[in-house]
Amino acid sequence: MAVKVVRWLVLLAFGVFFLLPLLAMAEFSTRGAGGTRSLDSWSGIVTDPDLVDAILVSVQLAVAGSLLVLVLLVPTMTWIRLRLPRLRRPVEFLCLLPIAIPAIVLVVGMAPLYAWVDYFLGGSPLTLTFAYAVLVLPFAYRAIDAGLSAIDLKTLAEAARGLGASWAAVLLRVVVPNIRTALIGASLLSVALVLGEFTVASLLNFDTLQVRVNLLGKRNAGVSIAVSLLSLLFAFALLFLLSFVGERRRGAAAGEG
Amino acid sequence: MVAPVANPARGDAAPGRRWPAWLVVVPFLAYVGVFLVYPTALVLIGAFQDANGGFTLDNVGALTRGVHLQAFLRSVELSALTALLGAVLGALLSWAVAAGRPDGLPRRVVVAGSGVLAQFGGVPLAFAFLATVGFQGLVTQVLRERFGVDLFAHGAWLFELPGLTLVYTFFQVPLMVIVFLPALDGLRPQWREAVASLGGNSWTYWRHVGGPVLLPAFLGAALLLFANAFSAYATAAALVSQGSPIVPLQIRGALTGEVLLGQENTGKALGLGMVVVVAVAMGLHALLQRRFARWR
Amino acid sequence: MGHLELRGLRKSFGGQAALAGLDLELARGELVSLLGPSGCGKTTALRIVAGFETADAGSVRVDGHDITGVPANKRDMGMVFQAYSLFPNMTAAQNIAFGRKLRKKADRTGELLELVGLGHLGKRYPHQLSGGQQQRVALARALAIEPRVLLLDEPLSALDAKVRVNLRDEIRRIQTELGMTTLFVTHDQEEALAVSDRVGVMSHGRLEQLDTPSVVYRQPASAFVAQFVGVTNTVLGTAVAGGVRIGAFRLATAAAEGIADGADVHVIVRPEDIGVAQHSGQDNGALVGTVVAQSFLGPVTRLSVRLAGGDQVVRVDQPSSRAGDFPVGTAVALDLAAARLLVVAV
Repeated sequence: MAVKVVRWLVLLAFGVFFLLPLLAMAEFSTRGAGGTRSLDSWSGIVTDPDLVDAILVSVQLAVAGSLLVLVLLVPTMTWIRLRLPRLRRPVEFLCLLPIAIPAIVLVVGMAPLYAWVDYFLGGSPLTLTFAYAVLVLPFAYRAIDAGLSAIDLKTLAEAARGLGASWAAVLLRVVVPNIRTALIGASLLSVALVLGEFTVASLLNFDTLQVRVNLLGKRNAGVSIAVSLLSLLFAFALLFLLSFVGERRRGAAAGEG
Repeated sequence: MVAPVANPARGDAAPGRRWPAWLVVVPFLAYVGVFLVYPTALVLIGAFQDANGGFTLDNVGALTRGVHLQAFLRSVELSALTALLGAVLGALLSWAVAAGRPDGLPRRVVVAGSGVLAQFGGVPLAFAFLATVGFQGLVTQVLRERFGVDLFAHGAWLFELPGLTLVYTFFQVPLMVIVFLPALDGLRPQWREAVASLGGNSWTYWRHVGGPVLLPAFLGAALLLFANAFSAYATAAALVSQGSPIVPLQIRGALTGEVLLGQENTGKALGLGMVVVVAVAMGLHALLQRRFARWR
Repeated sequence: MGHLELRGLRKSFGGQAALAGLDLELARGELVSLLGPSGCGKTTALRIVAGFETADAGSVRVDGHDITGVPANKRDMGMVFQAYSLFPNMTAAQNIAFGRKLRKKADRTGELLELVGLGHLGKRYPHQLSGGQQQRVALARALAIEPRVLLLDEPLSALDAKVRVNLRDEIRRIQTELGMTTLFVTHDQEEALAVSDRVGVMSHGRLEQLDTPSVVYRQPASAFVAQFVGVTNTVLGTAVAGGVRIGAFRLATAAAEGIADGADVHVIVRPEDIGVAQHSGQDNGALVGTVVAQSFLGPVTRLSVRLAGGDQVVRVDQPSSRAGDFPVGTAVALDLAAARLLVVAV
């Protein structure tokens, strides 16, 4: 029983350590003039057109980035498992490479590259999608890899081919539905990462949510803190949701004799 | 992207055109080539080039002297310290979480919260600490008004290394939870029961079985934490606006124009240095990880 | 007085009764199996003896001493788990030595490795051993502490069929050699019958029958025991005065005594207790049917016979040498050896 007490004390201590800054953000962002409470900082989020634009850009990037990474990875990884097993290690290496290359280093190499992107595709901040798909590559790879490992891909594909399905049908109607959970997980994670990304956007001079928040902080800390709290809570909601995804698969276990 | 492709080796009948199987992976490889391999190569090669593209060791040599060397030392110090703090505290929190029900609310909340703080943190974390212990932060005010304590009596520590240490720990602990919790879950209840039936107590178990089994995972996680702190940029960039005490901030300086003539490629050399340090840490991490995987 | 005694053990998990009053006595040196389907409470009973679970009521005694309140690490019980219980960070030899080291007893690792036939593998780590070898090490580790009682929790269930049979015979040999009082939990009836002095068949937290393997097999105390142990036929019939009626066939048997006339009954009979002969086609009051399938099982061939006037199928074992007399489609008359029937009201 002593262990139980210690366990709850530990949880409590960490709870305070991690919740205190969040609480402080809530307090700070509701300060008004002369010690009063006011929601000006919060309403400031929607009345600042630059901030609203930046939020919209980030949301579009989040959707585009996760779609791009899924479209790139799912057919490739499926095909490699089915037909090109020799490529599995090299592709895994490439996908996990961004872990070993800090974003701050990658951006040094991307700066000249984005001069070309700008030249060909224009200076829209949505071109950041390409950089973001790289940043989320390792996370998406791991999620999809786990999903593909959990199904008997070869047998499923052979069965579908035997019934006359084209490869496109195998991919879209057999593989995708069966790794649905992994795809949802990969997307949620990608969305969270893109919404929180600062390094690349800031150094390539694009106006995304986090860049705008940082800039705003210099003159109006209240709004910045309100947006920061909001985005942390939003990310928490996404990941909390994620913890229920794939519940069913883990459900079957624990037998007793 | 997955047009009918035939594999002659397996005699799969695809009427009409026959495309080589590797064609399917071309878009992926092309994309990764352009947006990952090319920029990486640019950094690694550029580190050894002078302004005219000729080979030189000057850029890399500059890392071994003066401000750059100091930045590396400070970066390593900051990363090692927060990795150690994060690993120890994170392991403790992991234990408290793992001891509960796997589908319980504490675990769900801690895991989701850890994901947010470890991977999403960045700029919002800097503002979280401004709101807490900044000049006008909640804790600063309460301490000043109620207890007469001035948090900033000894300078603007929050915007220097001590501040970075505190804020980094705030995202290192959650990262530790994420990577260490699965290792704790890998401890089999039979081991504890076997120790008990052989006459050992809880201490015997941790001393002879639980501890040694977890050690590689713990060290591996600590290395991952080190690499994570070493790579981190956003939090530091948002907090520290004056000077460049750590390497990522020096790279910012190199990118935004605080570069002296003849040192155009210093940023790339700094990048190379970071990649080397991170690669060493991640390589050791992978080794330890493999050792732990064998034991499960 | 038994060496190990379980008295009135009760345990429930969240309102579900896992043990509903279990009494069991093991004589010194005896091997008793607890056999039953998963969830019958057999593992719970074993874990209570080991001290990993606390009983809601009842007691556990060893040599007459009540050990109900003694913690697991002071009980001197040797425990072998289902699988993966070896300490992964120690070699086979270190695993075996662990318990004696804690007790500061002299090292006997070499001797124990020999005992379980692994003299040459002491330096291997668990992940370098096969499943069967791991379980041998686990057995040696449990025996190393010279336990008062050996507890085996489905130690063979994770192994391949061949290894399983080898190791179970080995366990029995070692157990007999050392005269070790042993409680063996399993869901595999063949395993239980093969190695035990006595078998306790459990269902819903209770002992249905506790007796020697041959009695449990030959004279099952209940329909549950008959169906769980070995292969049986369950044929639907009706109780009549002095016997039972199956369709038009009447069988005189004492097994139906005490069941009201006209009640529906199950007649339970093993395939090897049924005689079979070709049927001439005349109605002489015999139980008749048609062979619908044959399956070759080695020494015997099992005939599936569909009874006339219904769709009940009875399985009958015949020596394989005679099976050629009854090809599929043959009309046959079945002879139920009256002494080996079990009749229960439905």
